[in-house]
Amino acid sequence: MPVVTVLYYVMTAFLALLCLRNFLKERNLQNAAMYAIVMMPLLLRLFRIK
Amino acid sequence: MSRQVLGKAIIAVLALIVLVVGGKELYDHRHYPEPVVLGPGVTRVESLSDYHAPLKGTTNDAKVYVLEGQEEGGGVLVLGGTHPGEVAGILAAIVMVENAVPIKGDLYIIPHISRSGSTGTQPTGAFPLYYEIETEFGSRKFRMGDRVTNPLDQWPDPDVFIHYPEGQSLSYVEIRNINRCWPGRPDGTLTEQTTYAAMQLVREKGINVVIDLHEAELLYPVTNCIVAPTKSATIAALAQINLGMDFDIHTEPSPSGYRGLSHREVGDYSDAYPFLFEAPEPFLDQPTGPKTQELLLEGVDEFLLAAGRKGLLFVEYDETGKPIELRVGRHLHTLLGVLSEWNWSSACPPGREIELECPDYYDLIENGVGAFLRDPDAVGPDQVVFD
Repeated sequence: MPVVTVLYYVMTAFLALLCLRNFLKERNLQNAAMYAIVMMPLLLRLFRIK
Repeated sequence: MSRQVLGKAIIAVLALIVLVVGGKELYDHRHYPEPVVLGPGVTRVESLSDYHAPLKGTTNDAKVYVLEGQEEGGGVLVLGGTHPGEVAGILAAIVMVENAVPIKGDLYIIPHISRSGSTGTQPTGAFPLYYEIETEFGSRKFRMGDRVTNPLDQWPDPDVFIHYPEGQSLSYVEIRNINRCWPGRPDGTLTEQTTYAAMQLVREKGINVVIDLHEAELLYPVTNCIVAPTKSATIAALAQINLGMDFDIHTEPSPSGYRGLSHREVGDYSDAYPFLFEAPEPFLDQPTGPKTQELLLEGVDEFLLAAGRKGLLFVEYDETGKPIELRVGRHLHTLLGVLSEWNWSSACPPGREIELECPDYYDLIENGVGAFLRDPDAVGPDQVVFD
């Protein structure tokens, strides 16, 4: 796997963690749902499903 | 537990369910083993990695079905699935593998030149994951694909794709488009290495004719046609004249200033004569109803009918739609027509004629695609290849 691809997976993991952190800290349920939705394609890419 | 925590817990559980259920479907689709039954004409099955070893073990190590003629003659390479969403190309190639018998010359058929592209569907396209062709023994199920290499196999895309070796700047996503990466290079991206392997096949086997099977939107002018560069133009034009008695078809010139396409680069970087066939596929058009299997296989859409009434389409279109047997039949008939003209042309060296027996347009229209698909369960395991 090329180095740039590895870096992109690292960035994806970082963004997913940011979303998770914001989801846990968020008080507004609508915003929390948004973070959960935003996280899904990041997780699908990290798990190499889509 | 506070209302907030409970709410977030419910959201998390729901998200997890969607992720697991949806993710499993996507995973199964990517790994679905699509069977191909070896027909009476198949003499051996190779892999694309036989022509470029680094492809071995990658998603694009596609199967190459070799059908050797009873007499020595020329060679033709048939490519299906350059754009896996253009299913008539894939099905036409599979029908050939399972039915064609070469009389003179050799056939090399790659139904899934972009195997990677066939392992995912277009993001936000809401495509069905599979389509099924009805046969007398049940249905045969095929993966629906996207236009380009799956990003799981090649990622990230650059901002601008610089074509090798011509140096033309193309849109970023074209770096994953098989039909913008010809002639390829041995140390390039997965997509470039795939086209390089195919070019090596052309050179090593002395292929005379390369036929790339595609489909296109009805709202797009390059449809219902044979695209050919100057060297192939006479053959294409003569084939068009004869085929015009069977269905609407025209020829399009391969633009010399647009790099990376098979109908340009295969001819420029080898001695082969390339042709690209386009059949009309309503499913690909943007302004349609839901993208369903029915739309894919029947090609009937009320929005396209409305567009047709306003004169916005580039093909004749009515309530009969564009069924899959018509599109697959067009490809097979056009292929036979082009090979017939090749045999008569001055471009064909003596003894390099290509003749084969293969279902044609009228066979497909009368019997449907399913009549030419064999039952994988009715033959021995050594007669079935999973692609």
